[in-house]
Amino acid sequence: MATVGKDIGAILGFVDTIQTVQLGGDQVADAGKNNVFRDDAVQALPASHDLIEAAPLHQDHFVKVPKVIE
Amino acid sequence: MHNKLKNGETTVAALVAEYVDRAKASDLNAFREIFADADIAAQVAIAQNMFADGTATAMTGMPIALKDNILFAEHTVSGSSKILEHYVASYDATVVTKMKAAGAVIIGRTNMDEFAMGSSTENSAYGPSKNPHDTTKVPGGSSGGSAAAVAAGLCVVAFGSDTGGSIRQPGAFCGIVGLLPTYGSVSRHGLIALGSSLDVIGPMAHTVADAEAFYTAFKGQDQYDSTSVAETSTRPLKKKLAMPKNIFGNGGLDPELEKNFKDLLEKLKGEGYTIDEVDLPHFADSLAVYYILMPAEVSSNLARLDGIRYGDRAASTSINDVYGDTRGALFGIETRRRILVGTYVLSHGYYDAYYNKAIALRATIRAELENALQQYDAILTPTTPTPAFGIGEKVNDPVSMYLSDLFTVPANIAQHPAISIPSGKSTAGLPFGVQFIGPRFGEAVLFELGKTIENIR
Repeated sequence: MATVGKDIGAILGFVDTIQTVQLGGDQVADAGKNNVFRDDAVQALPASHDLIEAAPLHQDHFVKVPKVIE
Repeated sequence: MHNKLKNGETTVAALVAEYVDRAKASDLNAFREIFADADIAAQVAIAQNMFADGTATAMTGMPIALKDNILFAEHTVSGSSKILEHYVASYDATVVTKMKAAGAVIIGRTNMDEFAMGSSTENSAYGPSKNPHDTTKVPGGSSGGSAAAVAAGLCVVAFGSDTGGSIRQPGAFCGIVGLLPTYGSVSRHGLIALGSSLDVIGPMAHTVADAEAFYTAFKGQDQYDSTSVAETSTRPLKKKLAMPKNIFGNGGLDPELEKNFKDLLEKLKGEGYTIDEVDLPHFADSLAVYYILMPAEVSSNLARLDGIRYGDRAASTSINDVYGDTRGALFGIETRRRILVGTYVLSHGYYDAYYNKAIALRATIRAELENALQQYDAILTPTTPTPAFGIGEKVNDPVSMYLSDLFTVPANIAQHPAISIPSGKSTAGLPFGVQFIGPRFGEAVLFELGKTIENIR
């Protein structure tokens, strides 16, 4: 973990260079606010049977996963 | 090769057997797995039928390989990680569906840096691949196994994925063509996600013509990938190229690589191209932006690997221990580094300073590239600052490793296409590559430029 911590410090030190880049205040404040929306309209969804069939393991219309707690 | 199959000079079975035998005999560790003989034979039979009934295409019968992060139904796909060592894909990636329909023969899955995080394949949980030109050197990464396989003649074309240069950089290191298609032009359905706003599947091939043929066959909008689109750009070539200022003279380029690049500039001018140095003020900031956005997206995408739904699980007695012990034991060190960095830059108190700032800078970088490409056909750079480095040379210095992506990352940040073309070799026999970054959906421009390089180098 000490090695990983040192590496992460070096990586963050490297990416910290963006703090020296001057951008307009609005550019940062607006960052991520442009989103892509689709129309709020009813669309056909895949049949639930097909979704269940796509799971690696399934049984009786349920997705099957290994037990977590014995 | 296609003509020989069509004319009956050889058969699909004979052609595929030749490549499979070479792949099995190779010690490059390019392949994680060569598929079972019965599996390959079934694909060969389909291809042979397509020649018999006249439906064969240029892809039919061609032995190809998939990077170990592209899902192929009923086959193990591991991302070259221990955590997915026994994971069997339950569906085909869209590109695989298209290749099967075209009659290509998928002979195996290739080695890569774990979950596509790396530039050398040294982060693979199954050992590094070797560069066919010098087996003491890396083939590059993360699609290093694919690059080595094509360069060594173990398959005709290999599929890779490119998030920050992972097709182009190994393409340059191994002396083959590597295409980063426009983000959205190829479906990501069935690609194990690394950075969802950056990942693109692309071809790695010996020639631009082969890369073009395969790209044309597997591109296109896909109902299973809502980020995929069907656009193409058909603008004519102006024979005007741009080069970012300050590439030379700061000691960052290998001297022989720099000379090769400068010689190529003169050859391009001899073909009637003008090459202008242009100011792209934030081009060099792309690397820092990338190493904020990509780990952020990785920390989200790899959260699904929790020992519950996919892959292997460490034995533990509580749910939190299952998560921690599984991920701690089965993720490699670079994967853990990037998840931790990504979680940090998304955390409260740091989100604005890192992630939001990187998003804003990303938009600026993209605007600068697009502005330059209004006047120029493409932006020209070396693909990498150096030829292939030695195995073990940079593996313990992550930042030094990241710097090999200096020229490739801007195209991913801007979501533009780019191609790496072999441009020569060092006196030690190590390949160099030159890169063109083109307009969005302007792959046709890149193919034309690439063919020019193939003719003049």
